[in-house]
Amino acid sequence: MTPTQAWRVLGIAKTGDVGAIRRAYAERLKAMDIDRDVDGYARLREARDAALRWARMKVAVDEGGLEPLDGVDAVVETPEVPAPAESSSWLYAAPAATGESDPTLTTRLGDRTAGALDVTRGVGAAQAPAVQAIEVQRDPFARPVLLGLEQDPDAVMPAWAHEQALHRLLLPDHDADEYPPLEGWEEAMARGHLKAILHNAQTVSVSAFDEVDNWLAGMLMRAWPRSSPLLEPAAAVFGWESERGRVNERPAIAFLNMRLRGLRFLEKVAEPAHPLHKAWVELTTPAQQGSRRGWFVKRRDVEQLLEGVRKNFPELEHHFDHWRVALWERGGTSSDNYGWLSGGRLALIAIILLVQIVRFALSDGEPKRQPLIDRPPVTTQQQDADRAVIERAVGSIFGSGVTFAQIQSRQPDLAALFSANRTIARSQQDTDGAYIAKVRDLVRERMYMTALVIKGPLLEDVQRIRVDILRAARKAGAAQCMTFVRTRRLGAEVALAPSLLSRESLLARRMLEARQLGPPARLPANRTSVSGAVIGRVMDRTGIGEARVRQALNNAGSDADQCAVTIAMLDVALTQPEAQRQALLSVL
Amino acid sequence: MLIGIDLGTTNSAVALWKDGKATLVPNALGALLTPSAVSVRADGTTLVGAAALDRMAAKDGATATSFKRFMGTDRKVRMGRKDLSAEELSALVLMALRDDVAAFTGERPTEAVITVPAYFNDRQRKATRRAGELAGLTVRRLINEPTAAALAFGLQDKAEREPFLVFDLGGGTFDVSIVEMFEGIVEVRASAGDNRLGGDDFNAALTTALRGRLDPESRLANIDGALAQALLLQAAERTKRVLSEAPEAEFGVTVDGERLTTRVTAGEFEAQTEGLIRRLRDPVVRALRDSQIDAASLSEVVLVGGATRMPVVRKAITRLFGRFPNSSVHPDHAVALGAAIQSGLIARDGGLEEIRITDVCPFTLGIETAERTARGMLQQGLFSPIIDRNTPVPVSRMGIYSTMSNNQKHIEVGIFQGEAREVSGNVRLGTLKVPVPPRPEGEVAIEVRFSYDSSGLLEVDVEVPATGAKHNLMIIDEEDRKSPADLEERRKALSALKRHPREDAVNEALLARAERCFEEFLGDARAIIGDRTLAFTAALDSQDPRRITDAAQDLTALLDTLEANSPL
Repeated sequence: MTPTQAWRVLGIAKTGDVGAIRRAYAERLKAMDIDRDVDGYARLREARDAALRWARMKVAVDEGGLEPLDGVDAVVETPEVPAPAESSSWLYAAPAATGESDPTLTTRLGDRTAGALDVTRGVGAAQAPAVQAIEVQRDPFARPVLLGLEQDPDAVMPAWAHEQALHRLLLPDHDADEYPPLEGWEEAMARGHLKAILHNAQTVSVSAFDEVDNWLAGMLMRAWPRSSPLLEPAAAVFGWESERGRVNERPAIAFLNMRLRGLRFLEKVAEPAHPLHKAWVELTTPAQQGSRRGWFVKRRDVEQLLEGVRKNFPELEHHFDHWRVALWERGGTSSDNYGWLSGGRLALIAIILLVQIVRFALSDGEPKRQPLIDRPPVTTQQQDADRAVIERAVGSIFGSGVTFAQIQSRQPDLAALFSANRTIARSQQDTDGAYIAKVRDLVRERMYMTALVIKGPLLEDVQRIRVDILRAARKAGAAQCMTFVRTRRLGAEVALAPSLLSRESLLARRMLEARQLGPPARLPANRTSVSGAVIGRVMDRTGIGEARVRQALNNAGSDADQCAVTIAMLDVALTQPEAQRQALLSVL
Repeated sequence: MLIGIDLGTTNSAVALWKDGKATLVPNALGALLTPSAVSVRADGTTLVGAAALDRMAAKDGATATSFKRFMGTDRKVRMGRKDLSAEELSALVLMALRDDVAAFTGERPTEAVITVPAYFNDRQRKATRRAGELAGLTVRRLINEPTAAALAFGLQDKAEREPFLVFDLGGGTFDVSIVEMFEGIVEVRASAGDNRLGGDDFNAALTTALRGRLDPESRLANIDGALAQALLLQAAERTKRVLSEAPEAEFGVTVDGERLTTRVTAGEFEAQTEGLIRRLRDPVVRALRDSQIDAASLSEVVLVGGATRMPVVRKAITRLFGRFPNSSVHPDHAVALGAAIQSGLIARDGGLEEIRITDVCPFTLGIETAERTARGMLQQGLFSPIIDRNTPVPVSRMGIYSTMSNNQKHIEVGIFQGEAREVSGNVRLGTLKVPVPPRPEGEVAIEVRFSYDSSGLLEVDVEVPATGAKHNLMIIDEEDRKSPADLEERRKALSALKRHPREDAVNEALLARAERCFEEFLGDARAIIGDRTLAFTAALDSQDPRRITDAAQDLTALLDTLEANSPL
């Protein structure tokens, strides 16, 4: 309805006087029998609402010192604009969105002083808190604080600060499309902030509660999947799940509810009792070259799992190993129900099993115990010895001067890995050297995987070292070289030059400082095309024919060829122009 | 004559518009509230109100309370030799109220305005309407309880009011309405609620929490389960009332002449009811969201319903709204008074000519549809809303739908009420089968028009433009489809129940109370009650009015003294 019509229906001249509009409306309403004239009633209400909207606009325009718009239709089409200062609700105003214009809102949301620390959010939905509005000196996060462990979170900081801090943790960079998952310390902090926010939301008034609800939902959605550890507790407090399947389910809530179901499924399928557990384990186990489909996994289950996940929880698909999935999908036409386990093979396995059993039965003496179960008691002496070994490993990997305590503070999950491996090494009675080699492999793997994610100069540095390691490995045999490529584990026979090790420890130290040694991320399959010129140079360097080079590039052919080609490719790639270089380095 | 009735879960009240104001009508016992309880004695006579409530723990006969909770369902309660549904039980309460008005004014009321929770669905409203008809009252209008309360609140001073919120937590239902008043218009902006939340739930929570402590030896297991539960719930109600004023109260029952007691503090009670308190928030948020009103800009929060007396509830409300609520209306009387005002409006009484009420439809109404998914599969059972919730009523809206398979011969229009995206989660109101000309899929369209009137009655019109055929469905239940003769028959069956003459109500109630007290008290007190009761029954048998009055006075005085200084 246009305002012109609205004024006609109300029977009054255009006016900004709300009282006059209401009087006209009341008069018309009393004159009609609304049950007999349903359409007339609907028209009258619409006219009243349009007139009130116009009146409110006029007030806003007058106060803003602007000329009222003459094209009245245009005024009506303009969406709700929160009136400044007075947002009288019978004007059908949406609640004012800023903390400033509504003093009660400001006080409710914490002790923030209006203006200076204005945080725009709430009905403005997932609006980001104006981070820049916070002066750095007042930023409670200028120095690291251990959060989320206090009895009363409010005692440490006001609610708004928790909201900003959480926002910054979840969405550290405004322009990025996707963020890595929260790291251990980040997650702990985020949980702490969330706890405080939820606690606060439960004690404030309904409107503020509703605002926090909307704001948090919007933010968790935007920061997904980074925000996944926070979803369960938030959903429980705001009762998001009760909204599931409702006609008016808010979009953000609909999104989060889907994710929530995904998380629940993940939890359930990880339990051995779940009917699809085997299929899940099968599909999530990373496959390597020469891997085959798992035994005793039913094709039906795998198909059901794949279809279910793709249909219901597409975000869970990244848990699968793409290679493994391909293994199952390639054999789509095969009719055997037990994958690799069929016919003759079954018989063969049965025989092997039988032989093993017989051997086991004949062998006297106790069956070997599982070392992990038979954990010898730990004495303080041993603990001290362990600590010394760990310190030695740290010194040898990161160079002298770096201590285990530093790793614990910089990269707690890596530190946990060091100690866990130490415990295992002790129980298996490995030598200290073997332990150090093992953790070195782990650190090296993390360096490589992180570099693949971050790319840029870091990837070049890492690959430069890697090619030298490969060269060293080749001296011990092509098999050693390829084992390293495939498993990222370096054989004991391979000897690395001290200069190479010191280069590596320098880089490791740099990455540790930058907290870049997190758990290896799962990388999507990556492909790039290799130009003829590059292949030509590889042929020149290796002296291998084109056919064999191409074969090696496709992970086929002899180990010697593959190793030589990999090294040559890395060498060539490092001399290529920037764009080409990055593309090649990230697939090698 | 037209009366206004508040048919509540625990208490009912009746009021009428007289001499320019709403007046509550006292019952035979002189009380303004009549408990919504019906009891059938072993001899088949029925009792309604306080007498029935006192007989709740009696071992003979049966007593029904809180039956409003299963209004509109097929559930029946065994009462003596008959099974009675919620609407029949409600009809008995309505009859008692009707008789009270007849005794008060000397004129028999024939028409009524009855209040229902705003969040009552179509079926529950229909059942309430039928209960009125069964009681011999023509139901002129069903009005939402919070709307009625708002009327009573607004007419106190007839001032203009910015939107205010009516927070109606009764015995069994919870409603929230946002209402605005200006220029003699009472406009409901939004309503939301929870049909399964009320004072009864607080009693149940207390019972569950304390039963183990009260009865560690499981003595209660020796008596009938329903009876034990009734005893416990009554005890919980008493404890709850004491806790509204004192920081600590006793929770106790008498089983087989033995007294079991335990003490409970307000803090414990608060901890036990935390889950219930949390459920208060959701409807409030929904109503505010739907009406786009900020809680801070509400001019008042008006409390209605007996359960809002609980300090835990008041504390929660103060926290929810960041202010203290307005308790200027009587929480138990406001709804009945509002109903009486509405009846005055319908009767076009002089003093009220100026007021108009506009309400909203609290549920979404729509039809069942199917959709083709991206994979070409047919997904059925989807809910397609036609009238959104909190739309002002009366309203008429249309939706256009088309066939989904080739040569489809008819379309089945399933009519639903609710908020779930899949119809299985909603309430089915009816079905309409519409024949259509066989054509390729998608070529035949139908127009479905929903008309919802201000009493909450839905009418569905379906038109097939291809043939010009029109189909109409008044949404009526199976019950309604039965002929008027059928209704008459049920009415007769109800009247055939031996109802106690109203004149005897006082004596009956006194006897029931004496019996209850006899069960509850022990020792000397019990002996004295027994003596006085015997004297009273002897007086009743003598039929000498003066003797009866004297004996009744004695007994009442005794019971009053005992209960006021309860050793319990």
